[in-house]
Amino acid sequence: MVARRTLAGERISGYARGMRNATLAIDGMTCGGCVMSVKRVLERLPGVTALQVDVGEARLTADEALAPEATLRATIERAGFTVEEIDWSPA
Amino acid sequence: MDRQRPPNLLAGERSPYLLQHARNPVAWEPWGDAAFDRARREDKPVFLSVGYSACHWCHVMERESFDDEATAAYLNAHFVSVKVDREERPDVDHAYQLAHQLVAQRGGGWPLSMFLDADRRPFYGGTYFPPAPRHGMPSFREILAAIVEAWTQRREDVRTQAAELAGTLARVATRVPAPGEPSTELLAAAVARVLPRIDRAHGGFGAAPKFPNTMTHDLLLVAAVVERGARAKDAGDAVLLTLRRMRAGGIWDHLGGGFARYSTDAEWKVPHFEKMLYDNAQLLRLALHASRLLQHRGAPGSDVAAMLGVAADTAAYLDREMRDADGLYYSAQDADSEGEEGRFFVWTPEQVVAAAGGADAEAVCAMFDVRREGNFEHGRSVLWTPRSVETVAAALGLDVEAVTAAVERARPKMLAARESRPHPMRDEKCLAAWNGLALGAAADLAATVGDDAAVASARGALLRWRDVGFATGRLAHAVKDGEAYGRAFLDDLGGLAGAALDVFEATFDGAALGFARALLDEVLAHFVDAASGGLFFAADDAEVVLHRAMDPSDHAYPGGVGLATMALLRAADLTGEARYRTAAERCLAASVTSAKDHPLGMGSVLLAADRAARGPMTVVVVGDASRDDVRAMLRSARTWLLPHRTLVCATDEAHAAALGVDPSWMQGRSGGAGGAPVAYVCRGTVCQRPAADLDGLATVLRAALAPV
Ligand SMILES: [Cu+2]
Repeated sequence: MVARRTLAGERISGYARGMRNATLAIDGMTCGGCVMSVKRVLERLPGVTALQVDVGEARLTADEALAPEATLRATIERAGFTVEEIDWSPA
Repeated sequence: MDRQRPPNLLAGERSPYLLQHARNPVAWEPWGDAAFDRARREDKPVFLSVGYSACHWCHVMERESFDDEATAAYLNAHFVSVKVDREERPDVDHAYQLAHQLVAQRGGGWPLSMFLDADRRPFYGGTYFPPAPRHGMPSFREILAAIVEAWTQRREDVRTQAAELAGTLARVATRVPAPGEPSTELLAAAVARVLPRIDRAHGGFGAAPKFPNTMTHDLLLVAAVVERGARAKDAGDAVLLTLRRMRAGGIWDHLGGGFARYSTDAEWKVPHFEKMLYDNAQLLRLALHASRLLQHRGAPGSDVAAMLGVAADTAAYLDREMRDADGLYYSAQDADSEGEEGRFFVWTPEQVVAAAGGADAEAVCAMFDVRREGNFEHGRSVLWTPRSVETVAAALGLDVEAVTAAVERARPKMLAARESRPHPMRDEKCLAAWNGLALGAAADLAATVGDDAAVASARGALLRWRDVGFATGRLAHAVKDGEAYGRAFLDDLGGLAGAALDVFEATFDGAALGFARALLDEVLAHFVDAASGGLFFAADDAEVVLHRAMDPSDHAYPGGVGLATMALLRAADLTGEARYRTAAERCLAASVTSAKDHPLGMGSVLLAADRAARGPMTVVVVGDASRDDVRAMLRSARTWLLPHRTLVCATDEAHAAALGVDPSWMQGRSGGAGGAPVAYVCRGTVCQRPAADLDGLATVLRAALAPV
């Protein structure tokens, strides 16, 4: 499973189409430990690149096909945080 | 061995084990193209003999057969004889042990005796062969004659056998297991399977002979703090029982500290006396962890101190007898001296009187079970403490204090007396993997007890490995007499990277973390199977011995896959670099299926898989590690048994970045007024509130460790 996801992630990283920037407002993050947790779960997602995480916020570039909004939300919520809102902009 | 005889081709080797055979009448050659080229030219089969310096039966076979002129003459006439030190060439050993297993349909061992053709393909083999037929076992000479007969009269059969075996080996050695996924259930399932196999009377697994099996105990210790209720208590109790019974047994060196390799009986009484670096390194760490478990359970301070003493005495033994001038660790000490097994370690009552003095001798003999008739061989006794000091005192009509004092007075005197005996041989090559296990454990212990000199010594040894063992930018397998040689295997890189991370967590010296990254970058560049994500045992540019093998199993020490994946995960947690985590997860996915089926043989993989699934337990101390109050906070954190610990100390984001630590760890986190430390604890994705003093830290850690 892990292997296939990673390979897929590498394969799609050159695509221009379907790539959008997202800024996620995240509730429940208080410190660097939370930042590392959010990083850890998001960086494993295929289709997520240019990831930057701070307390309360994550910025990334997402391939809509591989990492749609619902996937981003579910991933972060499984780690114990809440996604308040996601701002999308063209990549 | 005959000092007058001209040496054979082993005389130019570095391995102490090979040098021991340099004056055998057998015309030994080292492993290499030259030997196999000669076999082809002269149309002879190759006799491959694999052993190591502390191997009792290897010495026996040498005395009986390899030092025998007639046997040597026969070998020299009909064979090309190749000698390999398994510790120098674990790849050769693994490949032909597997071949032996297929030929013999049972596990191998040492000495390994294999017969190969000039293409290095095995066609027959065994382990130890006696000089004369014994218990239905053919003699070595009979085996040799049978091989020569087959080689000269039935060559086609030999070819067929070699080809068939090569085919089977190829299938077995390159089998790709079904992929799985690390999960926290793996640990629970493994513990449920191994706990019923604990010897409830004496600790350890199985009956006789009994090996320490440290990797399985490591798993039980994690379970003791992450599982709940009876299962957690059972797992922790099992480890404490094993360590206490080993400490009371003859497998423990009651005078010098440290553990012998294994016990010939179920009660740890009579050991096989050789001492291996890897056992002592692992047991040192296990005892340190066990002392943390005792403190976690609120055990009396004397119990915690006694367990910590096992770790400290083992470290003291290693420092005293097993380190070279640069602080690197030697490999092993032999069992035999003066031609007798264990002679160095055993005592008669007269010897105790002579060393300890008549007044204390009675109490000492009673305490250590030194008897007139001997509890071992030839009227000599192995020191062990089967009876408590209370029982001994009552039997002698003495105070407990009097017996304790007599033993404490006698111990250094007996150690000094023993020092004047002829010593067993010491194997003075320093192996990267085993050094990693030892100096990592030593660094963790030293930082925990606040022994600055020992922390500095571990750091010095690590940097010596970097400057000498890694001078070419690729890690060497071994260092001997200050010179690096051989190409590192996966366990060398994983083991030493783990040690570098331990030294980092003991010193917060960015150089240690940098070295860990360099070693792991070598793993990523040269050991990864792109197809499965698994990690090979040997590098992509190393000699291929039969097949490029992947072996996720532990042997007497953790396997390369377990060591490397654990180090990759730890480095990923500290540095925030996803590529380390990705590589570890891919490799674990390729390894966990077999680990699930063989929990007793793959403890180190299961431990890494548990870290991958559960995430680290992280303590970030914001402060300057040279300040006393910051050091006190760090030391306090180290006394806890934190499952999959990551420990960071930095003043701010810029400082963390300068150390090579992901500055994200420091976000939203600040120190106290005037530089006072504040500790931030996270377990998995759950963060605790900050702790500004030692009581606060204890409260927070207790909360974080409570079952979730
Ligand atoms: Cu947090």
